[in-house]
Amino acid sequence: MITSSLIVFVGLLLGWWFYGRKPILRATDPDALERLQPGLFRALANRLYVDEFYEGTVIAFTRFFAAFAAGLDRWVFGGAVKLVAWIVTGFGWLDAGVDRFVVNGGFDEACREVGRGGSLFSRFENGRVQRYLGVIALALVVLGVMLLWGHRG
Amino acid sequence: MITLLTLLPFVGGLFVLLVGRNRALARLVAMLFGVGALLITCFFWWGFDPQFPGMQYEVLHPWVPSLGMAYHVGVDGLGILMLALSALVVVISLAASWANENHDRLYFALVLFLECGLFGTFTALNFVHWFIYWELSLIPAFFLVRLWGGPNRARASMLFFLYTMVGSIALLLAFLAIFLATGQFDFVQLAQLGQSGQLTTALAQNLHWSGNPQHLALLVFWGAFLGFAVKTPVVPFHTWLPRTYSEASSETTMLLTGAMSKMGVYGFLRILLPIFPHQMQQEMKPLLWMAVATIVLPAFAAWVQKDLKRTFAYSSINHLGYCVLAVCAVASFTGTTAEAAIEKSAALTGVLLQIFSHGLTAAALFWFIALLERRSGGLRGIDEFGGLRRVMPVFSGLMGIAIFASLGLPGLNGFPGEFLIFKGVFALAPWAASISVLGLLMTAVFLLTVIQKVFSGPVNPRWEAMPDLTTAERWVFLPIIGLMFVIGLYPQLITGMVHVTVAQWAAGVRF
Amino acid sequence: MLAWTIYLSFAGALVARLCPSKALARAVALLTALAGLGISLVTLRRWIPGELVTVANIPWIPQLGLSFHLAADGISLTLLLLTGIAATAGILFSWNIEHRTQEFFAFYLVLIAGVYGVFLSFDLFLLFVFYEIAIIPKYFLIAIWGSVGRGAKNANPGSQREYAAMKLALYSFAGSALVLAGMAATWAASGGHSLSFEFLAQYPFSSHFQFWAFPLVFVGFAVLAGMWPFHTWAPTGHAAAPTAASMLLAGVVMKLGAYGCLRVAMMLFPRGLDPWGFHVLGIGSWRDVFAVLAVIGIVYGATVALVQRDFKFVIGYSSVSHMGFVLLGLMTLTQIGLDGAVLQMFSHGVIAGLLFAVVGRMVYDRTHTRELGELGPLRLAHVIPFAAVTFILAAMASIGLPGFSGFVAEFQVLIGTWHTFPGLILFAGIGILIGIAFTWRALTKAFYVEGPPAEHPHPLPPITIPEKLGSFLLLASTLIVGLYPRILIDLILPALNSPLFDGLRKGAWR
Repeated sequence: MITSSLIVFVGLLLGWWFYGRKPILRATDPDALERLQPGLFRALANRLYVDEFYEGTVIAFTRFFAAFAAGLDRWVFGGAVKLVAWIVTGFGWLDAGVDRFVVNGGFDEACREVGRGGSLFSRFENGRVQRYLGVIALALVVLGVMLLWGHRG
Repeated sequence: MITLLTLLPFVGGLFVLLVGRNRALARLVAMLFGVGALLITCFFWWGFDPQFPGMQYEVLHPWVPSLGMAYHVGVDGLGILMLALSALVVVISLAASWANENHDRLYFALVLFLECGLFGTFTALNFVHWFIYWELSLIPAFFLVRLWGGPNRARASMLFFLYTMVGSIALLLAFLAIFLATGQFDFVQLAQLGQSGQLTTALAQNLHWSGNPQHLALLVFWGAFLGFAVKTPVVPFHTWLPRTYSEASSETTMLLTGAMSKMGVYGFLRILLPIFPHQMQQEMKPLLWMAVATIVLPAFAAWVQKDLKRTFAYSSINHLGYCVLAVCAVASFTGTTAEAAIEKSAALTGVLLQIFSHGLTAAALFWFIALLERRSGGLRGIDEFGGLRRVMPVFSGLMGIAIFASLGLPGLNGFPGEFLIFKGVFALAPWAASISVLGLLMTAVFLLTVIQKVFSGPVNPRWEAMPDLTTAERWVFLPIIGLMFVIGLYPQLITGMVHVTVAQWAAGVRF
Repeated sequence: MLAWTIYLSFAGALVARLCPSKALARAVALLTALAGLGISLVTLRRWIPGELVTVANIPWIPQLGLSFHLAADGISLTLLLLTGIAATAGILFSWNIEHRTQEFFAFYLVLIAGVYGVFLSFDLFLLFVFYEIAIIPKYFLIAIWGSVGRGAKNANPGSQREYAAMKLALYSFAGSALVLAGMAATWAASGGHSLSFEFLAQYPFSSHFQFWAFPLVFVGFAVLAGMWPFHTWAPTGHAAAPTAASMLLAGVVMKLGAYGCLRVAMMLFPRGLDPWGFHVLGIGSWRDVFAVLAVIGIVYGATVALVQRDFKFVIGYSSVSHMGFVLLGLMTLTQIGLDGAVLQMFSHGVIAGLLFAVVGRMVYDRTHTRELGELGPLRLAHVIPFAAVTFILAAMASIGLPGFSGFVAEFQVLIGTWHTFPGLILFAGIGILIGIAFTWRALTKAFYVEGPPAEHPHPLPPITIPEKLGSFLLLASTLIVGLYPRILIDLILPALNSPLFDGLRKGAWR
């Protein structure tokens, strides 16, 4: 009871001290507190800079995090999907290449080799007796070598 | 009866295709079938006994017994709610397409085919039977996005289709393993096996798994999880959604967000939670982190979007994230003491309320965007407008109500769901709930930003002559907005129907 | 009565060749095919599950123990039905052939007769004879009536066709050469008494014999089934063949190979599948080898199809991929896996037929281009919507969407794979996903490209009645089996449990 009355009294006193002794005539005149404690007055006039503080911390963070979330979505998660698509399509090209050149090409090449082999062997049979005699002679030599070798061993 | 309901939209779709070169006739026939389906759903609603603790309207026919395939349908509280929501959202979407000249008979037929797929998914109780509808509903959705979408619809629709298929195949492989182990495809039977822990042992035995049986069960669980994580969606499997929602025509997006997205959460409730409770308990940490990411990240990302449809697309992910959070939090306390039962019931009831209210609100919001697009000649950037409150007061008022409902303002339908979810999750997983509050906060921020940029501020001179809602449009929006208030003020309308189902889930004993 | 499918087809071929007018030839061919289908359907109606119907058993060359032995069990009947359906549809889709029509249908019916013969043969030698009979018409069908793509602009179309035809013929002969070797060895090892399946299935061949006879015969047949890496004839051949031939080649002839794998290699030499006792890179038996090759085929076929520019090549590679599932199912050695494999044979036969019908007959015959890049601007979805919708349904069936026959088949194969090769299941799943990707890519690129429409020199003719009938036949087949698979499963499963497969069962499934 006494404390509160005292506080009231002190408040009244302060008010009279600041504002009662020299009344401010015009609204544009500087305030008493402004004259005496310009720093404090400015702080109070700017609402103790709470809004700016808020803007600088929470809002800035929110803006950052929102941009981060959107970017995450676009580049990381979306990027992962695109990467999978690229890998699969890449595999497709690889396999198509293997199919065309290795497997298919391999088969075609093998067929060509058979053809070439055929043409090679057909040289033994050109219809001329001399060729046939020559082949027989060659075969006899080979046989002879094989027999002698086998006999030795 | 359920078969009839499921076939009705399919027949309707065929009818629409046959009947009309004439667009007016096509839309009339489509609307008739849509309303018919809604009426039948209401009939189901009234005939549903809220006290009965099992499946109602159940039908079971053997199909291919050697493969475990059976025609098994039935509804419980969850099922009836989803049927009602689907029927409602389809009717709303058809109403929205009424005035869109681009939407011809093929569009209406596809919407009805999609409805058939939805009804089938929400009533099937045997995996193969359920999977048929799950997969087949993708086809009309793909064509709806592909044929009537925006400039990037080719990419968006392909991404949507293939991404969802990845999840579906993972889900299929998981369930094939389960079939091999248990010989069962029936959800009810599998739930019993899963809860008693027999599933894990069966899997290990029948798949000749040499390692830890728990690991095999977890592998199977993650496969099934992937299927639903892509559909819901859950971060990081969500990137298909913003693009698809923004490229599809707004009326299509209404369907996608109002009804199709609920298929994912339905899967969590009908399949993951009953069949894999132990696995969810083991994997609680990663699951909860994913749920929290699903709530927080899209809410932040929504704030920086320039396209209104993308903003609300991210908002959709965020809202369904609350459902995922609740389901995962509940799983972490499976089958324990009775105390947790109250929190679990709260969370699960919240999930159901959130599903329904989000479906309604999101559909309404995208309809408003569609109207805005039409009036502005195709523009829907958040910065394109300004001060519309003065030019179109009724529109702004009603869209404002829808936005506040999305925000979760008490008195509107968004509040009971979110409140109950948080009530439950705070007790079950306090840290997750605390971080998720950021999501709530951010939702408020970006939604209010939308209101600020679009409705408030100086009137954009371009739109000074924008017409307000016509009388017809006002009459059509009235019941929707009315329903938002009704559910917001009297959620017993829904909770009364589902409380027995929820009690069973919370008790963790039965299906 | 079933033997009449063979006799009628040969007779029909002869009559068709001698027909004075093209319309008459077409009618004769259609009637013959329908008769074959009708006989199979009637047999289906009267079928008792698990029975083995001996159709004919006449000694042929008694000194060598060879007999004209025709019989059918559930598996045979399934494939006979497939042949009937594919043949009828093929003829319907060939209604527009004007160039040497009578000869076309004659060759076609001879091919069908050979195929019916293979599926009905219960004597190994007889099977081989019919197998070889089936190869000859293939060459001519492709070489004379085939189509060519953009590939080699330099070479003239004739030589390109001949290249494809020759490649197909050479691969087929190479495969059958291996089979011939195996067959001769089998005959010798079993004492030269008989080559009838009933005899050979019971005969106790030594493990050592079976160890090398099995892969020899299996690979011989697997070449025709399109097993990687012996598959390159398939995309080239199918793409070059005229529509009806592609439908039959991809649809039925590839199944000859798979059928041979099952009926000959696996049924007669089951010990060849036993573990070797040692492991090389995780592979410990022929079963593992072929399972891995099958999975490679699935993924490889799908990835290559993903980057093709030619519409027909996409479908050709998709056939390689789908046949991979058949081979994988066979290798699981589980009842469900084998059931899935046979069902996939039927299912893929119908679906491949449908896909080639749309691509070849509906699209190529009208637009004269197979390049996806050129088809898009033609706005085919607006011009020939029937083709677009049919292709959508065929694509849905091809990717294994439930409701169509492919789903039931693939899921059984996958269950079998979970059981026997859990390590491969991931790759099979990836194969399915890439399959979905390439199918959808082809669908959208060919039919649903938006943008300025290209000018076409003349308006495209509408879809004719025979095409519609053929489409309905194939779609109905895949839907019926998809929605009511028991119709075929009740044939296949009891057949798998018959005494013929005893050897396989003892070493394999529980």
